[in-house]
Amino acid sequence: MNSFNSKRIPNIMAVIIIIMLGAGLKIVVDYSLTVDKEAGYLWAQKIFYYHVPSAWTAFLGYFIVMIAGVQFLRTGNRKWDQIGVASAELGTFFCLLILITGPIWGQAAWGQPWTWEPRLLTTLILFLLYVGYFMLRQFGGHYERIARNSAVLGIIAFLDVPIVYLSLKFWSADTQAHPQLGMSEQSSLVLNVFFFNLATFTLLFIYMVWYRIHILKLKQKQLELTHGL
Amino acid sequence: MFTALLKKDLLIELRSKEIVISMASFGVSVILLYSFSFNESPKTFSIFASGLLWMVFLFISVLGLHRSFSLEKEFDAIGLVLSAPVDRSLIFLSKWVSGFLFLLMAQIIIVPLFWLFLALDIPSQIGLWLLLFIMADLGIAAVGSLVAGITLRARMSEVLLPILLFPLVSPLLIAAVKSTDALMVGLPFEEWKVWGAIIFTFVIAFSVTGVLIFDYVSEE
Amino acid sequence: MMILSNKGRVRSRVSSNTITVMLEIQNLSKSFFMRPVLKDLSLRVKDGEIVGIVGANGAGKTTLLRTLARISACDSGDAFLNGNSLIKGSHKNRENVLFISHHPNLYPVLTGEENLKLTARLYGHPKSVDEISEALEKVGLSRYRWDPIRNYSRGMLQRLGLAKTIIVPWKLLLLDEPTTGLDEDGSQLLENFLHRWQEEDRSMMIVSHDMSWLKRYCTVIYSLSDGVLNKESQS
Repeated sequence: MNSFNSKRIPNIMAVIIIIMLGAGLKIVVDYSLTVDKEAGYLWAQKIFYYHVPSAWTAFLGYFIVMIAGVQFLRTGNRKWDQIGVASAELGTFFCLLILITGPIWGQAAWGQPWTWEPRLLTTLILFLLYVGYFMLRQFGGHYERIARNSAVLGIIAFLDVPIVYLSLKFWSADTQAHPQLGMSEQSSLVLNVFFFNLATFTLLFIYMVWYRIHILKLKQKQLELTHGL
Repeated sequence: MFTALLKKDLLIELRSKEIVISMASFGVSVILLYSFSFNESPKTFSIFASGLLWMVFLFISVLGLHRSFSLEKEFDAIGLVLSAPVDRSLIFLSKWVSGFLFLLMAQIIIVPLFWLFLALDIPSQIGLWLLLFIMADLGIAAVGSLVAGITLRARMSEVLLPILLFPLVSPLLIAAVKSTDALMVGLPFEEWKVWGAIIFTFVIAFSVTGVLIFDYVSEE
Repeated sequence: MMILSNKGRVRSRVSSNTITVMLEIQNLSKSFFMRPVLKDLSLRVKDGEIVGIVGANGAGKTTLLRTLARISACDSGDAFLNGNSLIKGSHKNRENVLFISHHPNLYPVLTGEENLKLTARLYGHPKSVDEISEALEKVGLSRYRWDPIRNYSRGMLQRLGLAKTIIVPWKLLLLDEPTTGLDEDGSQLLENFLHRWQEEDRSMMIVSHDMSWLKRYCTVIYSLSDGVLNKESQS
């Protein structure tokens, strides 16, 4: 099996991503507008350009976990389980990014790192769900059953997310309301930078998932060899 | 076939009396601990009461669900139902309904004691109370039975079950607490119907999912 | 010799002896922890045949039966009983297959009578109290019918398993290590049952580690090792 780093498309992707990350950073730092009018245009709010793309990417990841779960249950093909695990791992990674950048933004913008805000809370709950997912994979027994059960868990978890978000939205309306950013209200200058970063993160996600699946396939090959298949 | 499975679950509980009694006694001891740890006046307490109450119900649900499913592992009893020509979704349905009934029975014991120990006012609108409890219990039992099925054959299943269950059931918990709060101050249903809708959605979503998907988790 | 039509069903050859294939296992594969226990396994059991499977401990004999009974999931492959899929098909296709394991597969808190009643009900043939009493009588457990089976000894549980074979109208019996745990009376009982089934030309798959014991009852014996079946003997 070829090393991942010798394949052409991933290498091209890697180069593009590095360039985009670098360019994105420069643009965000020097040229982009700060977003939050009410909090007084603090520089630290520019983390928004990383916070929200992280969120969309994490949710993309978890969506893929659900699709991979359905496909695995339907076909029994191991590749779907590999896609599911890789997406869950990377989704959780980006989830962690949200949970880190969120408090940074919160501290800078409102003086409070943690707020009982529906989107942040949904992210936390999602994060906890996937910690559970990985625990299930760890303790679930033999691989074949783990694959089936985590496929089911991936499906349930994603189905739960809209209900979680809805309930938190109504719940936090009673508690302190935070200034929410309406994406449609932003100027195109802001949106362009935002979408650029979103594209960067999505590409980064795809690259990392692809790499991870490659490693999982190698691991499986190794296991098959030790069992003399 | 469903009635045979449900009768089996209920008969086993009637015979062994393990589940409801352990759920109820654990619930009562938690409430006792509440009354010791929170040294507040009843007025202040009523603010937290609904939250504390539903947390107790979640804790005892974990206990009950785990025990109910563990019973299937003894003597590999579940093997009987799996190898028989029985639709697997019926296993989920019987566990769902029996889990719901066990929780309800434990609540019948716990709730009056809760009210008594913490000297709370007796609420009005008993009919709505009952409906709320029934719907929320159905929700907990649905998602709980599904998760219990997933963790049944895993190691550390007694730990894994709550770890998976609690995040999943959080919207139901919020909705139940909000509804209970509303009922305690006597708000008309119009004002808190969104929480009722969330509970209802939850019950439908997870019962349907359970029926469709339980087959995949039931096998070794 | 006629070839029956094949609408996704098993093609069977009708010879002058009119022997049909009852159970066809096709490419069954199962791994535990990535270790293949059943490797692309295929097997045909003819009507009236008693197939023996012998092998070392952990070779996968029990796994094979449990997969056929759909207690364990298989990774790929299928099995057909008279053309109906046992694994991927409807649950109704299992109604003529009975699996007797060295696990009781019954509820410890319930009595012998209640367990048999439940079994009959789950197989779609509810039995009256009299019929169940008769079955318990035949296996010598009448005295214990109202005891919860967690109080039963190992031998009694095995005999209760044999009682299942009386109340369920099976066409294919899967027996997993039927001799373990039986006392002398129990062994005699099992022998009587097996002789009767032999005479009635019933179809069975018996798993055991004891080749010489299998030779007394089985028409054909396979050994299972490394996930693969090899024919050992045929009578």
